[in-house]
Amino acid sequence: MRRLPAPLGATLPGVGVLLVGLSLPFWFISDQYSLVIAITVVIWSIAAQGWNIIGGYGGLMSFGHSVFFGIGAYTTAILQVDFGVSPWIGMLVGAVLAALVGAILTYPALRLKGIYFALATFVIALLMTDLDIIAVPITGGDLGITLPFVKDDPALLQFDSRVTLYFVLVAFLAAITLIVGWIAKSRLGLRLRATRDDPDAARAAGVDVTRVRLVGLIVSAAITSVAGTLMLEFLSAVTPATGFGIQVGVTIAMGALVGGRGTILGPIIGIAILVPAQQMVAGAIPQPAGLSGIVYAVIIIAVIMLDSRGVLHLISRLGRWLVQLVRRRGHRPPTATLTETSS
Amino acid sequence: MSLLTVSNATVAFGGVLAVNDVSLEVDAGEIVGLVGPNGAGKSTLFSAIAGAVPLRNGTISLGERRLSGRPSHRIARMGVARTFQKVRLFGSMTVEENVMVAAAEHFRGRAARAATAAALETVHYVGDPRTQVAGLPLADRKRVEIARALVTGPQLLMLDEMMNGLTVEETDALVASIKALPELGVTVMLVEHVLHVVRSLCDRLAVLHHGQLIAEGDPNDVLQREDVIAAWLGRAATQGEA
Amino acid sequence: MDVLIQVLLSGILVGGLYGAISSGLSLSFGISKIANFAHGDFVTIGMYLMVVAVGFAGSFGLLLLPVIAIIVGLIGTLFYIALLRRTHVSAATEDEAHLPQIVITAALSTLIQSVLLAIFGSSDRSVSTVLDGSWHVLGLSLSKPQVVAFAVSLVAFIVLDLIVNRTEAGRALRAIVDDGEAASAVGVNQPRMLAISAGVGVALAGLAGGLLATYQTVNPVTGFSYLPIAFVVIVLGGLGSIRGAFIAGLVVGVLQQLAATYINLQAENIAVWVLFLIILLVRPNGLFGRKVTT
Repeated sequence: MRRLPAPLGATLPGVGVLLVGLSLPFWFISDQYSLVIAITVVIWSIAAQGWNIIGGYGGLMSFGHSVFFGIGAYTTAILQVDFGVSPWIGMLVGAVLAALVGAILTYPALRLKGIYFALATFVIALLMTDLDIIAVPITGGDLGITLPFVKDDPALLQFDSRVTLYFVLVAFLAAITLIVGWIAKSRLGLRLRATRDDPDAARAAGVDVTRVRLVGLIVSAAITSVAGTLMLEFLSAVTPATGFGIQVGVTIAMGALVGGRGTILGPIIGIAILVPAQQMVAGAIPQPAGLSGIVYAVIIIAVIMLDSRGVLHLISRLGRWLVQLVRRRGHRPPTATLTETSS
Repeated sequence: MSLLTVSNATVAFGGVLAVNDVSLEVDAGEIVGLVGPNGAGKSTLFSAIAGAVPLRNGTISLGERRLSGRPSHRIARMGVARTFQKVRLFGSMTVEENVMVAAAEHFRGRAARAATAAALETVHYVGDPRTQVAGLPLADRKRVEIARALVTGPQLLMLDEMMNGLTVEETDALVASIKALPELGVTVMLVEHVLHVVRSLCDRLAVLHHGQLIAEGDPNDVLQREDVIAAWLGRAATQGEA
Repeated sequence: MDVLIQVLLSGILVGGLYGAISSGLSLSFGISKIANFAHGDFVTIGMYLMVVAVGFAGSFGLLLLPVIAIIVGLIGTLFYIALLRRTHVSAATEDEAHLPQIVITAALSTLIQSVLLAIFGSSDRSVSTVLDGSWHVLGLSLSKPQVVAFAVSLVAFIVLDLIVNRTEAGRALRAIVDDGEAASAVGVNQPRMLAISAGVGVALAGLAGGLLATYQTVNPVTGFSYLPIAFVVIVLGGLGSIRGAFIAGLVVGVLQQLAATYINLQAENIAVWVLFLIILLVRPNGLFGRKVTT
């Protein structure tokens, strides 16, 4: 199957996201309830896109991205509330800080094998949550930080209506998807995948595995941090649970993994499946409590057992299988023998 | 001055000396064979040269530049390329992408693509470069791995048991390709078990046994030496003959 | 000095339970090589089963502990066979198998929590038995249920250690840890042994849960908080080493109590996380175990 030439393949998904996202309120999102779900999906998708750079393309399973998410949220909140700094700047500062922290905290962890890296990130996430809770003067401890109520001030990332906020968020997601697309098709993307598939062979081919992972991690941290800032602005508050909570990191990772790790649109699809499913079940069938969690878990298990690389890969496999089925209907001889395929 | 100089190299894994005080020189343009029974330390020596395992003692140099102690990706960029005993390709990528990983370390954009195409041609890979490597037959996988090793124009290419699992025709084709490499400026070291390949390809042989270099020289001479035969086949066999 | 001894003792008592939970994880992780993120939630199942047992039979419910352990173990084995066995078979390397395992067991964790939530609701439960209260010995206060829990954990650990080191089944398990293929080649029924060791590992979690319920409040997420501690313990103790897991459990328990007493309450967990990160940095193989670095 012919692939698209690289620049097109890199930009198309981002543009697609923009078009689809912007059009949704006109044919899909009909009320406040769905709008809130849509907003949540977009923000989590941004975070999952960030995760995917190092988790999907880089192959490093991280449960610790809540650290970056929380840094984005808290940095922006603290700068805005304590120092009157604009959240746009706060977002940037947060991203830089997250990248820095990512580099420092995880550099030593990069030496570890897959599962131990995952564990290390898991523990770091828990550590950050606990540190956050005790650093009361800075972070407000258990109560977190609440932003003063402001209506309709784009400079403060607050808009006249939720719909406007939604459009702005879609623009963010489209931009991030463009970035992810470009990285995926670039040398960095190639190196990341080589590092994921076989680090030793990658080194033998001249790839500086450690440096590639570090760069991937820094980019990943920055993007996830932006998502954290956006979540802060949407909720107008951040708490240890919503900022650094371990569930944040798990949701992000699950979204990307279920949707299709190492694909440009995978994280969005994964989040778009998991989050609405959870919310809608919880909304439609509130009793017994826990049903939404069951649905969420079953979806994940089912998808991963069918194809461990996620929904997008599953769909493309199905597509190929269908194509083969159609071909066989045309009375073609069975697939070529070994000597034929050997070149 | 030789291309590759290995001086008193020792590699230890815990208490075991996998490579024991080995000294070896390879001149530019040679095809040198590294032979010996299983577990003799041949692959370990390759790994040491490539920087994948550290030396406990000794040095390894490429021309005047020291290799030992440098990280393996630096050594790769200095012109030492290798293949692995068990073919190691990047499983999620296409043929072209696999080779591009190496090419992209040395060339930019279009030049990298061109080098990739050239490398694939050199190894006589005639399939579609956009095929996924997962699912390729073994001979093609080996071709891709060699192309990936060649694309950067290395000075030294180390092939580890390339002929494993290949049919007679495939082996002959590969031998022909390797024979042509010195003319392209690539010096070759190979670890190999298949004797007729070793005899027809190699200018020189080095025999390892229990991590030590026990013989070196012209293939025919070396392979007729009693100590080499004994090491390879085991004492019992020679005693049986006597 | 008295305070110190009290702290050390409390730490050891808690640590024994950590040892039990972690030995179980060591079995499923070190031997069956399942990266089980749901391990803590099996502890929760054990806790709720004890709540139910005591609810029906009062203090006699305590005697149902072995039954609880077996039930949880069976549930764990079922999940292993249904969901996780495939990941071993289809993966090329151990590392590659871990990714789907992590995802599936993480989802399983949510599943268990959600089912428990649906059945029992979110409010805390606690259990009142004949074990309530403390003994006062030599000026020290020892929580009765904690002492009993420690004793049972210790016994369970000793039995496990004996089985692993002195019986044929145990030898087969150790053979599998060393070299799975070679073990199969000499006739060890690897799939069956792995299923059993996964099941026993989970049963230990259930056992610990049943014991914990005697002095801890129970809600759907209580067990989950033991998961990171269990992982820390087995990394400290060394992968695949059950003795290491138990000893490391004691160390962590003591460390927690020391931190909680001499620094502050929140430091309890922070000390453990910091210890974990230091170990990974400095001595990743732990006190007794196998390599975890690339």
